[in-house]
Amino acid sequence: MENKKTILITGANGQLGNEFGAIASLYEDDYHFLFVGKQDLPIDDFIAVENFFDQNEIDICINCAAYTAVDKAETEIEQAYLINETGVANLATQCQKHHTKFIHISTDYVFDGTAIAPIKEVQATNPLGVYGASKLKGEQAAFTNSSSSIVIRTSWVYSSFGNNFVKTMIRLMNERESISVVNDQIGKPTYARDLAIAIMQIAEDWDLITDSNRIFNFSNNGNAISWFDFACAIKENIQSKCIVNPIPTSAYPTPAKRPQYSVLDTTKLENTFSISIPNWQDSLERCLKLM
Amino acid sequence: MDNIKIKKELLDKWHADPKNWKWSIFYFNKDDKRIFTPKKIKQLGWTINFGNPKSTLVF
Repeated sequence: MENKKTILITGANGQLGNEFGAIASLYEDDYHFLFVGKQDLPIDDFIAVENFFDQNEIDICINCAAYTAVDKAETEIEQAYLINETGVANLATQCQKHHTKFIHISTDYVFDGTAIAPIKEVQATNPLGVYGASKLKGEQAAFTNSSSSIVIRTSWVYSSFGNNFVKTMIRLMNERESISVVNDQIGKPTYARDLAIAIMQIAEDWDLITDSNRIFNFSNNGNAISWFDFACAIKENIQSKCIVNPIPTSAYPTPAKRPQYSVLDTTKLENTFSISIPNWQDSLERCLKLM
Repeated sequence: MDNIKIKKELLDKWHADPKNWKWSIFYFNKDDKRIFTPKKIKQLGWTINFGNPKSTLVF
């Protein structure tokens, strides 16, 4: 009992936070989990975070909390930075003070989408909008304030929990005869369950991380696809008769610009921790079975 | 760096050991904490370590 490590999961009500909740019971021989949502612990409140860390002995903090409304962020700039930068800085500061390992989740939106090959961790960042810029500031805040922090960048996250592309597609396919989905944004989906399992593996193999090796990419493996391809795969899995039409991004204008190419190169994570990441087709099937 | 080398060597040894492959297909190794592991022919992608009780998380 005394040897159990305590893991703090912030953003417990989000997709990834909920996946940690789903897998926690199988890790309880070794870990004790603390789940907090924004009501329990507003990470942008320095005093609240400080008090929480003073009152709880935390070995590993996994920050799943984020402001993720990409379009709204263009107008709610202050709110986006409060959660995605200040909140991260507050957590990282306390992690440093309490010798807690800090795992922060970031995004492909820190890149501008102009790459022509899978994006490695070392490639130059250049966010296109407020959301990406605030997440990039968060990455910097994690490293500036905590010497035992790592950042995991991920893309196109979905889960059986929360709102996401997969759930939206299923709903629309059930409601409409045809839908249109953009076919010129390319990436790889990430099943949040797989990400949660990989993060637990990283936590267990923390000694494999070196000082120069603190950013990792994670997405499911398999061929790179467009949102249209992903929608077609969902349609096939749920055997929907809805017609899915491909459209260019220009036909679906949004307040925030999306990266055109978001394929993350996950080789470093796979090699460092000797794991193999499932293909997105297998993971999508597994996720849909839970819905 | 020694730790990393030793760990990687151990994982490779486990992967190469026929005793850890049931019917040459299913990876089963209770000592290996990983859930997602490479297939017997690594280039073919991923499989599950069925020896890890947490592998039920995948289903």
